Amino acid sequence: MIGRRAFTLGLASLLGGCATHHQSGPATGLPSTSKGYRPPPDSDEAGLWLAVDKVEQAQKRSPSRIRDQAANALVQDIICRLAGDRCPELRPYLVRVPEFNATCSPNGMVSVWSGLLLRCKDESQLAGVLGHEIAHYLRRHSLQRMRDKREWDDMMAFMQFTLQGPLAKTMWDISGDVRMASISMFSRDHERESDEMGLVMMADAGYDPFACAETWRQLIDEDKAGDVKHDFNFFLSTHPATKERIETLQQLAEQRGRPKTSPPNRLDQAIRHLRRGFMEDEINQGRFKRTEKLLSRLAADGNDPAGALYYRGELYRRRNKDGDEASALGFYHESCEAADPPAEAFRGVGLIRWRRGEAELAREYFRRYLDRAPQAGDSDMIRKYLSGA
Amino acid sequence: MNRLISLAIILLIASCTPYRLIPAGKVEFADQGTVETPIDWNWRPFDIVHTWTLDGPNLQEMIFHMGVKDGKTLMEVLDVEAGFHPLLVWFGKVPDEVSFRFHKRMTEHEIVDLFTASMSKIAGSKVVSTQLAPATLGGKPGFRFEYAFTGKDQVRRKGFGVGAVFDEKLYLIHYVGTEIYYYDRNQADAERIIQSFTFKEKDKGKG
Repeated sequence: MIGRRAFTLGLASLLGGCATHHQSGPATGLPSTSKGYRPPPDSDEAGLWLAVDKVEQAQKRSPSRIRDQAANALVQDIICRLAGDRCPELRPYLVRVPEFNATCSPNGMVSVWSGLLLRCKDESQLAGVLGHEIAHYLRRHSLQRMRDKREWDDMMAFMQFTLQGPLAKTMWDISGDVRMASISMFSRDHERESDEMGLVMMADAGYDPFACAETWRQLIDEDKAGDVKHDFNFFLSTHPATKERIETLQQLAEQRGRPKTSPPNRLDQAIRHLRRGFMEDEINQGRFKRTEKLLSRLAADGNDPAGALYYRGELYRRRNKDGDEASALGFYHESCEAADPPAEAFRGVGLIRWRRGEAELAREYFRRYLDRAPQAGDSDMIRKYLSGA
Repeated sequence: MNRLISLAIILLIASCTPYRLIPAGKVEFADQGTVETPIDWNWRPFDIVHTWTLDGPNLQEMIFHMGVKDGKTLMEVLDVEAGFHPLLVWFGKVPDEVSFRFHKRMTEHEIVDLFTASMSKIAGSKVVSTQLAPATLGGKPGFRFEYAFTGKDQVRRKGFGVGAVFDEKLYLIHYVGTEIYYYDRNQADAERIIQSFTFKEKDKGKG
């Protein structure tokens, strides 16, 4: 029914030459589920759950799964703070993928990507994203979208057989465009609803609601640095325009106000030992501008400046354009001077100095590297440099 | 996306490439070098490298990078910038992507870092080097390293490689196999092959 209503509305809008602008607010659709909900076994929803259950089985065994106890415990705890008595239904899986993303499947599987963990400045930002995903779950958005798409496909199949005459192709093409616009619009409504619900959930749990808009600003800065466009397409965009999302989230945060007490912030403690591996994943992507922006922000955030500076040096060294070696050397040096520097930062200085023929200075840094990492796998090679070979 | 499609097409074409038997004995790599193999192998070209296997590339493989030039990637498929439109390059509007390239002034660490970063792209999962030590290849000073990764197929693999920069070009031979059974079964053969490597006569004396 939703599909047909949307079709009529979409066709009318299209023929009238205007686009509908949706305000933030609850989307039409299914009622939310209650605690412990399981779909009826003979329903399409049960089929959807079954398909996702298989994905979850693969996720459990995946080599990219992060099994770190502290990080998993934190994400589980945030989910419980946000979801309340629905917490037992939600099962987090942290996965090592260097992109900003999280998902919550209809069966309660929550995937949190390492790129998201790295990019979150604090626990409130992570809670904002998880709240958004949990809202998708509670409002059964996947099921709604599946049914909407199926109804549209039925409608198109029906029209294929019934449309006849000279205008048939034109009508068919228009219907196809309206179908795309309707499905995308429906998806955007879900995103708006999840943005709003997620913000309410995280604010209710004591987190800072202003973190939600801030997360988006950070992402836009990163994408702008990499010349990634955020063009909004009425027919194809499944998410609202980013500017609109930021404005809405900012307004909602202002309505809620700052939390009365300091929000919990255990993120740094929980992922500190993983963060440098996540940074390495980022530079392995080979995306210079975006990664540069990200690492410079991370260095400024103060969570692990020494790590961020070292990987910034690595990023420049690997690119190796004019002046990059000098930039790399500068970042390695800055890293060495910061608190808790990676041993590799000293090696980085040593290698560049060695290549430049500054053997004594190089050896000094090689010695400092070995002092910090005497059992390093490359210690034989470093000792060769030290012996003057 | 275009890069992924290109990679998929190349892999598809490569998967259709017939193998050729490499009998035990002396094997020449054009004008670059020779090795002696104690056993037969199955050879196929992949991109710009030579690959040998006994039971299939997913089980064990020897890969020969023979004479990578300054400024080049380890495989052509890894050179993302080569696909940029000249006009985009002219106007400085190229995608935010850089290729990891060999440079003749690289230290041993940097070459191994280039190798693991490049292999990570090919394997689709993180490749980690575990050991790095001085070694020789064809009598030239070089390095030896070990590495490991778990592929998308969730199979754990390990490998080792020996390389050297000679005449401003990188020569690198590595052997990789499944951690269970296949790596161990032919590691000694791979070691003997690498030890037997000699640069071509015309290059002697340049290093």
